[in-house]
Amino acid sequence: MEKELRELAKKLLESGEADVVIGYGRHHDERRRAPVFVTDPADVEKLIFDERCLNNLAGYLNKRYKLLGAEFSKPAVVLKGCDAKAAVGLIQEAQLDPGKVTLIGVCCEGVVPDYDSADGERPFKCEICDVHRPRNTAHVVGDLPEAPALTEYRPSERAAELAGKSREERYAFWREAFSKCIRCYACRAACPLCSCERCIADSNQPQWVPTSGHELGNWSWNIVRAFHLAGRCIGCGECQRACPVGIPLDLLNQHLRRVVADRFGYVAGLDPEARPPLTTYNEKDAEEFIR
Amino acid sequence: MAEKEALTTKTADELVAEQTSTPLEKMEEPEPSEGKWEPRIVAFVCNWCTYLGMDLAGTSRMKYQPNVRVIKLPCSARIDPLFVIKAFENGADGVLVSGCHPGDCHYNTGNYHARRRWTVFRELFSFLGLDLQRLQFSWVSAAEGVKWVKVINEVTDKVRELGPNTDYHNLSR
Amino acid sequence: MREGKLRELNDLFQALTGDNYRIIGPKKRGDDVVFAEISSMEDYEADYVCTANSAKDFIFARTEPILAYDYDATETRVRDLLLDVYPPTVILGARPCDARGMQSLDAVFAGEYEDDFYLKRRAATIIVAVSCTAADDACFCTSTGGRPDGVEGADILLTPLPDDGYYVETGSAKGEELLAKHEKIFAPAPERALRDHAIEKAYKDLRHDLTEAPERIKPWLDDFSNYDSEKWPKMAFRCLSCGACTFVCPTCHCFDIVDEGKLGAGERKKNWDACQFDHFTLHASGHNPRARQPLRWRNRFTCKFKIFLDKWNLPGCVGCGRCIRVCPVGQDITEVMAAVAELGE
Repeated sequence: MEKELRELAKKLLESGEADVVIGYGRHHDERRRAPVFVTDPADVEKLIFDERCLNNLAGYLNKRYKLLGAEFSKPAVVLKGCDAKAAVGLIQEAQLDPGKVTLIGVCCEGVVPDYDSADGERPFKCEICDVHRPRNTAHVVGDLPEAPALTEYRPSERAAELAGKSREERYAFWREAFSKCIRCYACRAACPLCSCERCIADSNQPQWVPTSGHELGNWSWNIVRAFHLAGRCIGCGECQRACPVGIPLDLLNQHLRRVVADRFGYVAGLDPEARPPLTTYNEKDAEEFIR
Repeated sequence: MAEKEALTTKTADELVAEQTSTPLEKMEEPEPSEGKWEPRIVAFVCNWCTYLGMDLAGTSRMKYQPNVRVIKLPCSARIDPLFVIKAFENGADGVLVSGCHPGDCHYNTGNYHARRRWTVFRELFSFLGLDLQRLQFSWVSAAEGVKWVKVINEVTDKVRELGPNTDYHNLSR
Repeated sequence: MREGKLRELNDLFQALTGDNYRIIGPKKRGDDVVFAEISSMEDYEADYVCTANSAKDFIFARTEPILAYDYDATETRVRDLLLDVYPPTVILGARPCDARGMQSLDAVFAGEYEDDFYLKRRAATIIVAVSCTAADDACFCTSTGGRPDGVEGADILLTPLPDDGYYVETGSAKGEELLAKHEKIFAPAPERALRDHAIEKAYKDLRHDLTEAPERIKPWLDDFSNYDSEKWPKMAFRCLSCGACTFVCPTCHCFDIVDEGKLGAGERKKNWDACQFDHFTLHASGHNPRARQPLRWRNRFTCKFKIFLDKWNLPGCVGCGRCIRVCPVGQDITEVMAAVAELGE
């Protein structure tokens, strides 16, 4: 499959259809892979694909990163099925012009949870994956059959277990988790859908989200992050992997993905034409909680 | 005239922020009954329905508990969950969010959007282990002065029962 | 410099807690080992190469309230918040790279400019470093002029001996005082060769290809015609502009002053900031001289391999490798070192 990928990349670069192919390459630490930016057709050998290709490369297409138009005008991006969902999300929100990018889907049987994991270990997202064969990409490299699209969302055991605990236990869990937060915003940087050029957390007139690393500030940031991704998060889990202090951020996102699927029948990242659920409404939406 | 000097160049957001920015020590305490603690309730209401409903309650001389601080927005759709969080951060023990009944929104569809937002936000709130009893929602129309009084009294009584919002008060700042 | 032998780390732990020191040491937290307060040697995690966070957390705090103010119609009152609550502290189990990093941080906050908060905490802190007996893929202290058994910046250096116990060396007057005060727990130093043998593996584990790099990097950075080199973007495209590397780095020290105020009262706080954030150099006019991420990465590298040296003749990078371990996209400062060193030839 790597051969196919490299040939495709070479073709795109030589024909001028793409001025850069963003894919995965080796890292000097053998357990890791890292994003590579290939501009020269002779360098396509750098492109690899295996179960350690964890990054969601769709993030390089979002406006916050400022790649498009600045460094490159016609990027091609290698995307696993989950990553392609993020690209779909960006297209839905008019944050990405599909005409200006080439999406290269790669068939993927699953990746390891993080670089320290043993080969063959899988994270939760791979267990429920419906895009081993990516959707919505101009090219598909590799050959896996298409799976039926997710119509509902089953959260992980860990998320379900947490939801089943008492309120006090949940509060204690998140209090401990958020007290570790150092507000590095790696979660925000790693998320392809965190694309606001001026994030609310950086807004200082007024300062909505305190920048300090005390509990109040940390709760504020983490609540905003989770809420702003509601209905948009596609479940790549990069936020959690990027966190340098090990906060289980994806649990929040998982819970909200389930809420959105249950209440609005919506699963993110499948249809570029669909309206994200919080940008629209149904007159018959349930309102049992409203007096 | 003195009024001219009072014109402000602040934006609505800043005015809202100021109103919710009263530090704990400086918020006026309602008359404590027998020196007991009294809950602070913040109500975010829409201008066209709930606010007028409140007004009706007032002009009709209906009595209701004075613990509530009301913040008026043009529409329930303008109520960002971040406002709710800021209210709790700044000492609110309970928050009420209220707007027009579905179908009656002055801007046609604002409250439908708000409803979706609240559906998701309260799930997040609860998943974090925060107490949903402190976060209440209502539809109150301009004619429902009586309902307003009922809702406020119920919410205030409930929050008084729950006690101070230590979940937020105890967070280090 | 005094030398000696310590039979058991717990002996030192007991002596220090007996003197009412708070002990910060390597502690397991989930999958990581972090510097945290430990209440007994049972919490002390000896089997680690490098902690996820750096020791700077305790001296250059993430969030430091520096003054409080309140005002009414007639008066504004300001009060200093120089906290007297920082207890005497020992950072037990710092690595030589951590100790060296502290020296560089001292130059920023305890040199020409004196930061009261930093000074107070620093004066109350003793650094007991423990030499490395192994290194991992991300370590590169010897490529920045450091050593896995270096005593620079440490008050006391302990090197684990193969047969048990630690070879003790003092690195400062503070260290010597401590040794003198607790003579009973220290024995005479064994042969130095034993100590040198203990850290051989660490030296072997460390990479050897970059030891000359800093000498070639500095002249290339000094030459301003390289400032706009097209090589820069290529070396840093993958960086996402988060602040993870900055916040775990022992020498990074940028901060932001904020007022957290409400009507009538508030506090001024000093918070960590990162030159990697996209709004770090955003001007009030809207102009941003480092609007794009390759420019920000250029700044990071230049600060560590040139600016620190120009200003204080101290390393801006001590080769601890935390930035490499923590980076979500595998941005690797050693890759850039190698690339720039090559250019500087």
